[in-house]
Amino acid sequence: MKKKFNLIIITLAVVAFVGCKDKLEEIVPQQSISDQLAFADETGATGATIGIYGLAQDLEVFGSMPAVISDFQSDNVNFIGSFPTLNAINNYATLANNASINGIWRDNFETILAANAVITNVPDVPGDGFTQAERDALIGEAKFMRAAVYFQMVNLFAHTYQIENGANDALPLITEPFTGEVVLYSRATLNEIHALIEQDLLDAITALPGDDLAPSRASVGAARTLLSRLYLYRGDFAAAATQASQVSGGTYVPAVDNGYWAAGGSEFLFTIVNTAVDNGETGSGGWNSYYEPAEQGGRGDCPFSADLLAAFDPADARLAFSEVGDNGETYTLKFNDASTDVSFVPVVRVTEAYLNHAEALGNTSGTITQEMVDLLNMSRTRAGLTRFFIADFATVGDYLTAVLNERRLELAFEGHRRMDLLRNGQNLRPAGDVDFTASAPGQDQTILPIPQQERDLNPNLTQNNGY
Amino acid sequence: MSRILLLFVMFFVGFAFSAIAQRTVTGTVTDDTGETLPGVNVVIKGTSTGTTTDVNGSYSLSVPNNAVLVFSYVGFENQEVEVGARSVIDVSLGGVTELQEVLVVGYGEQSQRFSTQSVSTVTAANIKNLPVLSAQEALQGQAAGVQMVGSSGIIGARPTVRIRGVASLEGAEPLYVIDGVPLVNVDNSLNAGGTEMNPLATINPSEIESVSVLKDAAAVAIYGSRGSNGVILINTKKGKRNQETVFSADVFTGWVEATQEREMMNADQYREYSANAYVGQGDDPNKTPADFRQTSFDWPGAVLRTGRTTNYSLSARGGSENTSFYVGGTYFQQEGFTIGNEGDRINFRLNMDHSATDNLRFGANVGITRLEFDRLFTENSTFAPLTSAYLQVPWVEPADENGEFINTGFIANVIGIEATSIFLQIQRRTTGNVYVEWDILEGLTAKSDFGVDIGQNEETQRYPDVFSPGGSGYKRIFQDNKHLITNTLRYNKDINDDMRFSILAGHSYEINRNEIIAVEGNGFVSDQLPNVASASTPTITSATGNDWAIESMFSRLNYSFLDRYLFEATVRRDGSSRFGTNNRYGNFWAVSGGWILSEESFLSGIDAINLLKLKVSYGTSGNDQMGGNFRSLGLYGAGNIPSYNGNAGIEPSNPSNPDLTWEETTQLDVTLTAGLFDNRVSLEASYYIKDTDGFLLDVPLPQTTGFTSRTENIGEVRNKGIDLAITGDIVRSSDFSIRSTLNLGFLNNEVTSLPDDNQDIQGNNFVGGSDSQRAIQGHSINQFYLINYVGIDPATGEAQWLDADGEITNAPVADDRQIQGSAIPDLSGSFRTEVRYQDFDLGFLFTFVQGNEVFLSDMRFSDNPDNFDSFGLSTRLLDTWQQPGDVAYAPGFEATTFSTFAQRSTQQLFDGSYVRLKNITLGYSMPNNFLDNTFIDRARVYVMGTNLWTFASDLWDFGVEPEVNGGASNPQIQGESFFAAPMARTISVGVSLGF
Repeated sequence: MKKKFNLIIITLAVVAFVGCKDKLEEIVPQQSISDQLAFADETGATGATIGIYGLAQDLEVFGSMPAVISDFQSDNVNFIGSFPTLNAINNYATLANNASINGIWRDNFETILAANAVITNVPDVPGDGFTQAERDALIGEAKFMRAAVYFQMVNLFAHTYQIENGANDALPLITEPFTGEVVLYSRATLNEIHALIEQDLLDAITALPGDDLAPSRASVGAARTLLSRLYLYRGDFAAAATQASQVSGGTYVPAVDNGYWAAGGSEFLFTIVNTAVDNGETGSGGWNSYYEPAEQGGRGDCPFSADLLAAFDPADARLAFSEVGDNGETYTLKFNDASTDVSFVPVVRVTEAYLNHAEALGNTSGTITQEMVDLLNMSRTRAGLTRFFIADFATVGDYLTAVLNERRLELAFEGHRRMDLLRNGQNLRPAGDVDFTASAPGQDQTILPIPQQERDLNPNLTQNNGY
Repeated sequence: MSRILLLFVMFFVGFAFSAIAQRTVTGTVTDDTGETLPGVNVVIKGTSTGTTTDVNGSYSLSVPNNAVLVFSYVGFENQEVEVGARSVIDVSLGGVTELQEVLVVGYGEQSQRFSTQSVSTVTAANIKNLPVLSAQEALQGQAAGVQMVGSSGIIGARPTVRIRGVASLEGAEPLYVIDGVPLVNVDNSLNAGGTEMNPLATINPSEIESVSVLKDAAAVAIYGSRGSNGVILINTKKGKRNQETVFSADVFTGWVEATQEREMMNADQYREYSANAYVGQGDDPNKTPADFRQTSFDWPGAVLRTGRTTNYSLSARGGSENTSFYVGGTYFQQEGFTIGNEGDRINFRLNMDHSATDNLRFGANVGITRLEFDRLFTENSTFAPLTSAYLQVPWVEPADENGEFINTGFIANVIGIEATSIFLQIQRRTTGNVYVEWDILEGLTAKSDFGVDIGQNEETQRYPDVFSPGGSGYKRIFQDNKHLITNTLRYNKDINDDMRFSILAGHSYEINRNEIIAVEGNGFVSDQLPNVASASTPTITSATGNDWAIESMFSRLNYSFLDRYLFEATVRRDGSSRFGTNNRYGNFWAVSGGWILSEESFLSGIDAINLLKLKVSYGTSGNDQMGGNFRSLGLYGAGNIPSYNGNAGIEPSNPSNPDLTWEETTQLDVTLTAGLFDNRVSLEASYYIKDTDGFLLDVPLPQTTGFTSRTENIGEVRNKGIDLAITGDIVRSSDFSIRSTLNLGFLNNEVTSLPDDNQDIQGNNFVGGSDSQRAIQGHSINQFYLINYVGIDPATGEAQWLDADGEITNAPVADDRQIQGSAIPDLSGSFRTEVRYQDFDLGFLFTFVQGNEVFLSDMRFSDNPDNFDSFGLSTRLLDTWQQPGDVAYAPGFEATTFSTFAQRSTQQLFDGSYVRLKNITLGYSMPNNFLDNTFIDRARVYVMGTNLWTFASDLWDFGVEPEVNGGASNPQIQGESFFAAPMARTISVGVSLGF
């Protein structure tokens, strides 16, 4: 019996010692792969490109927060939410340690760096079957996304081109992926950032495979529209007209009636697609959360401002595209699915290209042409309003005012209003508002502070005035 | 085995002698508290004749004339009694200090007298009179140098335990080992608020026989890469050989309330305040209180309640010649002092061991638990009962006029959610080990031990239509499966009477696998359908897994000479899957020496000194705690975040750091132990210096890297201090005794080195932390860094702060922040006294800390004037400046600082020192004659109170608890509170029976 026990013990001991040999090395992550594997083949490179869009779904990227801030900092949204960091921005009392702003900085740069990794690494991915055209297309998508995100960021953190002709400090200009060595970047000027955006979009137009109409991914039409927006913001109206005309006059067709929103469809040149299982909504916000009243499951933070309600013609179908919450406030129906968080994120729409074109022509043409009026009427008639005629405008200035107003109504809640006002020299808030003066173009609180945490870590970053 | 055989022989020999013995002596053996001791060896000195006491502590032995009886029992000092002419000899083995006790150390036991390790022991006797609800609470106030802070008063909240300071920023928890199995000590619960759930809540404190806190390098080096924050060894109750079965039953029930309640404005006050604010701030010059909703509701009153705690324990222990066992079960029911906070726990335990042959033993210790919490969110969440109740605008009502609950939005309607929603957490856990021990040769023993810690944490959430339109459901099952194999060889050899020697060598392999399965769905036909499968849209379908493993070899050598010169050396080599390939293996070691001075001739003449021992240890240990198991690898993560529109994507998820390795702590310990005046006074004083090098930190990276942080070994921190424990038997007699123990831990925590690339405006290197605190070189690891608040200017009603130059300012900026106090106390300790008078016993325990600060982050909401008409407000704001000359708490309604008053500053920082009557217990034990005719051998009834009295700084007057820890186990955020639930004040009554 003793021998039997001894045998058992020796067996156990041997099993214990031998059984675990080399196990430590075999333990690898199950939800991640190494960064070398990520660019080891075409599948990995494609996944890394998809990942850029995935990151862009974030609340702080194209998941609504920057657009929401733009709409409530201006006169479209009456922010009634309780989140202190957003309230501070709404009250023109933003501090440099504002956590929401830190989140915007973090997630947008995360997306930019993910794009940089694709742009840098895709040319060297092994595999003969991975053709040059396929590589160019992925790089084109990455450049489009980098441009779109940089554009969103520079609008938030730097004063407009009109303030200092673009010589003002804007953002760190980063075109390389992170390889381990921390670079303490300084801020490049607005002109330098704009130059990067312009080049990326031009490259994307060349690299992307033709007029791809799938709005969930980068497309030439979206790149051209974005480029025309950039030129508008820089006051380069001729260039803006050139780019916009190739969209508005090309194969891109706006939706025919105002029901386009629910159907998606051709109206959207580039939209971040959110599904019930994959969206950028978080417990603290999101398109549906901000714009849906509490009883519908949203936070109900962002109803129409009184000023915006007054700006709509009562007959405007776009005004009717709204609901009144239990709290008596009016909410848009553009984002109305707070239970499953499915929504079209309108990053670039065809109608914007038409309005960009209209505004560019209004600034380059000495007279009002039928083309200009037609461009303006496109969205107007779709909303059930009567069309404009040339005679309705005494001056080009009147026409441009009408274009700006039309942009406001058509693109409400999509994050355009703030820049449209600032670059046109108008205060963000209407006269009589407590923050009317503080919201004048060039005022400190009209742009966001560089996050305090980021400056703590990188002393080379200068702060915006007033923070 | 041989001892038991010997005993057996003694029995028979005793029998033989009895034939010629003159007479019989009987008696009862008790401990110093009067409890009878079964199983005490009673031997006639100079012979092998003897017996053992029975279950009632009684013995009967035939003795020759002039015999001397020797009473011996593990853990007690031997006592010799001359029989003389007596025929009844009752003996109390009390009055000894812990010095003679056996010490449970890593991978074995040592005689406390001859050990050179610094170990504090808490025994079942120390905690039996305390309403200890978790394993960690057993440590509070019981051991010098061990600080336990309750993070929150909600049931199931994780307390923080720190041993000899804080040496780590990523994870500073000690390693918990139960019967040789290192426990999974990670909160696997859903992130539902700021407070972590206690991963050790599944451990039943009433099953604990002893807790050893390993403190110095000599003690922890054998746990290598996991030892540097201390090791806590929990041994569960075992049976004893040759002992009749003893049953114990224990029932107690208690009533639970919050120690503190904040005073918030009622609806009338709030309407008036909000109207004044609208007018003063120029938002609406015509606003009056009548313009607001005219309803009112007392949210805090509706959320707070008197809770109940009830515990039923039943156990049996005993043993035969070859086998011993302990079997026990506990049912524990808890109901906290807020709604949405109740649960129960069922434990079973079976411990047994058996001798198969003379040289072969095996056994198993198995504990099974089911724990259920019916809960809501905690603390730093607007879904937490108290947080929500305090922040809810007091005119908001939970239900409409028809009694239907309404959705109150961001500040959740916790009353409605509690009534209609499901948030259920069920934890199932099995911990245990089986072992075989084989005496190969005399003195040489091999042991093979297989241990498991298998846990399952199942969480279910279901919100009805009103709180999540269409309804939403969520279920997550977290499975944690750890197993380890430990093989050891022990060799003991007494070379001669003067030289003793022992060596231990071992190998262990431990692997941990966890799996998480989660599903979520929205869209239900009815709120009566509880499961996700009934949802129209599945929104989460996830399954993930994670492994890590650690392989170790270790050895310990002990040598003693003349039983007074002691030496020990320990070495351990660890390999861990969690570290970079460049630094996967590490070596740890310790050497220690002891000198029992009282054995020396120059002290032996001094009667007052019973024991005087000096020991010194020096050595290393490590810490591997950090978030995640693969922090050294450059990774692209897959899954929901990078995936897009049905396409699988990957994203950069972790920056690589192939040099990543564990923190290494080098510790020097000098300890003096003394037993004085017939061991009436015992004293242990330790001085230590712990230097931790390369502490791990998820270092924030500039976000322009695309990452927020990278785990690095970055800095050095020094903890040095003195642990002092003094126990005195103030009165020591058979029917009256008073014993008091004072534990003091003095600690100085200083960050000694940090990288130069992260400096504050004052030029100090710093890292990490929160917006309020950080680790600053030359200061502590939890140093508050805030703008100095001055007060309200009586002339203008404006709030005033100090700028960087110390000048008054109304608009401070981030660069005006200054170094403030630390969240780490300079002194923490306890004072415990146990009084016994005849059949009564009285015990009380005071705990105290001194020299720390507490930051009340919640005041930035509750005391923010600008939150009028949006969040509930403190009544303190009613003390608003009105006219020049007013000395007020809050700025005037027209002040420009009205909206910036509540910004982070020393306004929210308070002295965290306190003294608290943690526990007081009064018990009465039924006299034996009363129980004679019953089956009951002993019975005790008791009443106890917890947290009945507290003395603290003015934060206590603010209605706030000083014992808070909003950062939970995150060592970077200590001493902060965001509406942390206060501690529980409990009154309990109970009865303990033995039969």
